[in-house]
Amino acid sequence: MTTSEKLLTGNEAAAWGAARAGAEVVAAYPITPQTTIIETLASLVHRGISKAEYIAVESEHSAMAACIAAAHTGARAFTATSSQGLALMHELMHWAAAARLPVVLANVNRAMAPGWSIWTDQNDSLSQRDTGWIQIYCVDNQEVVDSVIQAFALAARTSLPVMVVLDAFVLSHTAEAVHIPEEEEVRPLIPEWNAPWKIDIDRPAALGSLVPPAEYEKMRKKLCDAHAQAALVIEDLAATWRKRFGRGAGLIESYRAEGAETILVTSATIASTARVVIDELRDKGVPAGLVRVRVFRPFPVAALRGALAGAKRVVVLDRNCSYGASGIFYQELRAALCGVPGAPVVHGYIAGMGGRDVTPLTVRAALGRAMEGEAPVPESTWLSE
Amino acid sequence: MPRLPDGRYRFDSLEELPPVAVSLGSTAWNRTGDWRSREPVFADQRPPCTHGCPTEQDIVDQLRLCAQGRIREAGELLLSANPFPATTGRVCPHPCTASCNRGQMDGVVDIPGVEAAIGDELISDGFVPARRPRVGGRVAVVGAGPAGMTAAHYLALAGLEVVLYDRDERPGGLLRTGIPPYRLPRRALDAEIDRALRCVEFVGQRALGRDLQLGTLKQEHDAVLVAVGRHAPRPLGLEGEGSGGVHDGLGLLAELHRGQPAPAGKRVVVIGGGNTAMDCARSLLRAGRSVGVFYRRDRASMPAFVDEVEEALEEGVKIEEWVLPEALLLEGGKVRAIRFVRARPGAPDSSGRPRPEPIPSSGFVVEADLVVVAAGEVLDAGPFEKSLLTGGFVAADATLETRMPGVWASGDCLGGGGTVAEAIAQGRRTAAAIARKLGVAGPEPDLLAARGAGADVIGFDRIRPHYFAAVPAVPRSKIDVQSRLGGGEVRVALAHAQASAAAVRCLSCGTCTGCDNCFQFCPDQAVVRDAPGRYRADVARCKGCGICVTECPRGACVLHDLGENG
Repeated sequence: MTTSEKLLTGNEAAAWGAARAGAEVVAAYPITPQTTIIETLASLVHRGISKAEYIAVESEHSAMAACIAAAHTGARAFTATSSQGLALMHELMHWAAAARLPVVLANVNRAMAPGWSIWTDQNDSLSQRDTGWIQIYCVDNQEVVDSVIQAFALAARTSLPVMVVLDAFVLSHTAEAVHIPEEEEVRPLIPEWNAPWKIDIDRPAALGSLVPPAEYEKMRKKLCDAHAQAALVIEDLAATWRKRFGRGAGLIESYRAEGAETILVTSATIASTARVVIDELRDKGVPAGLVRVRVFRPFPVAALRGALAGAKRVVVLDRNCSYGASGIFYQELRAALCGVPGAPVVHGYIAGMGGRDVTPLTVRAALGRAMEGEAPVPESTWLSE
Repeated sequence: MPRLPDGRYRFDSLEELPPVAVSLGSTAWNRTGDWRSREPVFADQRPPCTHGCPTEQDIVDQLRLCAQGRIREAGELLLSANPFPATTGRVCPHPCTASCNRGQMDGVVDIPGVEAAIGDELISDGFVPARRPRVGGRVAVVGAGPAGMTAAHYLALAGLEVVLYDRDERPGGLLRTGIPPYRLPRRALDAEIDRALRCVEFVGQRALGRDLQLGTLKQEHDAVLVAVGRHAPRPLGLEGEGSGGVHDGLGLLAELHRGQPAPAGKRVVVIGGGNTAMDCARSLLRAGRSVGVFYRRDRASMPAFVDEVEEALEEGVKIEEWVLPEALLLEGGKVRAIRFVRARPGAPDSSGRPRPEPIPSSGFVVEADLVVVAAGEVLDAGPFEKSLLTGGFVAADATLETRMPGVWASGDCLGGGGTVAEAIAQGRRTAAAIARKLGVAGPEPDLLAARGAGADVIGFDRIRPHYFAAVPAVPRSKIDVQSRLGGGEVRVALAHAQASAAAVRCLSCGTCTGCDNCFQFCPDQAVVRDAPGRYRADVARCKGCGICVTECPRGACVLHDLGENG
């Protein structure tokens, strides 16, 4: 640990990220396992490390409403939530995105009830897939602090809200050595947000007013286009991070995937477990590799096509499920590879729902079953079955 | 996207369309008020303190002025309802605080403490209310207690010529003869009486029935007010009540307050449970006697004010509950002991309280060389024709006019009530009625109605407590028992700053403070602010959602249903 490193849980890392990025308004409502994010932020505000206006609200819906209002004035707004809380925000998640506001949200992945659970899976954040938010899934606590800071820059540069996602407990409550960038290192990367729809008291306006169909459709197309633009900004920020701090991924992260016949595609902390398995297989001479999807929205179609080109088979390991369809990353990846000449066979497996541990054994089982010739099924295979 | 000089953006194709809908036009064309079936009405209502106060003072406004440091203005307002604030602030059982909504939060507002402080300030300031120019009209007021003095004061301010008679040498009535100085310092009482009677001709040592006759008074004046109180002791009905060592409570207090020494007797038995009993017990305690109060019901049923009973107990008065006096034991024409019998609660009497029922063979004897009978007072009916009385009291109609036209009555001679505040309230009401009858502008009978307040009494359900920061009540301190037995005032008066601090705690129930909540929370900008504290609904745009009413912290805004045709 260097002197500028601290031992931080994922939640503390998220809070420090918001503070270092200069969050100006924090509106939040507590929910396990997110609560320590806003607790840490409250403490940072109290200690003067963060200058944010901290608003304790009565629900997640209000938290997002407050962030939307704050962002409209040009203030850097931040909130954090999890599972049921995120679901309660849903209506305003659409609003934040369609109003093109640079709100930053940290979501701690937690399984949806019932079957009450506080452990991790991705169905809460993936249920917000179509709201227009950028979604970044973190692999470790260093990436949490970096992604939160980058999210503020990304949001301001694209007028899109950004969700930074971290796994319950595996990251949220587990401490790792984390380097916290200094304010002066990162603040210049975050531009002032000055879109024409920023609230200006000298120029009163009604926001979100009635729009005829043709104009509405055009606005939605622009929202979609903004995501394409965001993909470039994400890579640009990743390049800046690599240059300045020598770390960090962009849209995806490839690990020993060059020349691999079999490539595991997964996200979040399962990817760090998978690295161990890939190392074992490579040591045994098995040509296997790993591609981690760090950014789910915008979905990195081009980057994935490039990274997977030449592989025989791709094994997608999902910690989520779109009931009635399949694992969601599996679904998205098959769509991304559809029509690509010589595309690999794609296998989909589901594991780790409701916080069930995903160990090297689990990852090995997924890869093993695919490599032994198990036929892929469109609805994903539940590994535990 | 090119920006026009007026700040708007110009775009000529869908490609140039901004990604977010922003309308720079006004939505005022949208007359959303057409949808409404309800409408907010911004009107002050009645706070529970004023509702509980017999004098119906405008307490909220008084406290507001006091909180703003405008004590003189608070005092002027107070004097328009009650000429004796330094007095009532000390001796009133303060029903105003009984339903103070802040009691359900962090303790009631010390309304009597502030009232006394304002009263003291008015005294030291030497303030005197203005009198209207002299008009024709002559009024006689008989009885210079709180009711008579109040009526005389307001009638004199109305410009009438007022003569105030009393059987005593000095005005004050029960305030002077009954209430001990440790509850009501005489410098405060004297100053308030001087101010109240400044324009009144006072004639002492004139008793109704002896020196004055109602018929004659009526002939010589345009109006007559009888406010003679009730002073005749209610006897216990025991043999030997006239013996040496047996005194009636009010008579004893009058002597003590006139500066006479306390009658002889070391061991004192006081019979009764009202304020007179407590005042006798505590006064005799201060004269160095050992005192027991004997009451026929339990402590909670005593008519005496709770504070008085508590303070008496603190000071060392013993209270014996559920006991009935049975016989006075005499020796050489003087009392030596008294025999009691124990009682238990029986069937309820007309007051709803359990009637004390003697327990057979439970008699016991208490040695006593001074017995004070304070079992209540009745009207001395002597000066009145029978036709003027009902149930032993003077009869009066709703305007307090008696059955003899041109003669009004106020205060304890009417029966009921019995508090100073009630006497003052009746005095003001009668003054208003007499002034009206004589065609002159009298005191305002309803101060809140006069400033446009409605009649809704604002209960705690109309208060939004989350809008008020917690400021715990500071209980007024009392002098320690040893020092107070020296005769000084028991309760420490509030200093200027303390009074303002207490007044700040007022929630202003039902009274708009111009806090702007309605204005800020209205989602349609349909609340119009005409002036601070003056709001109205823009009915062309108000949808009747009621958010302004929900967010009014103090119930100064109500939602009216417009019915089907709204």
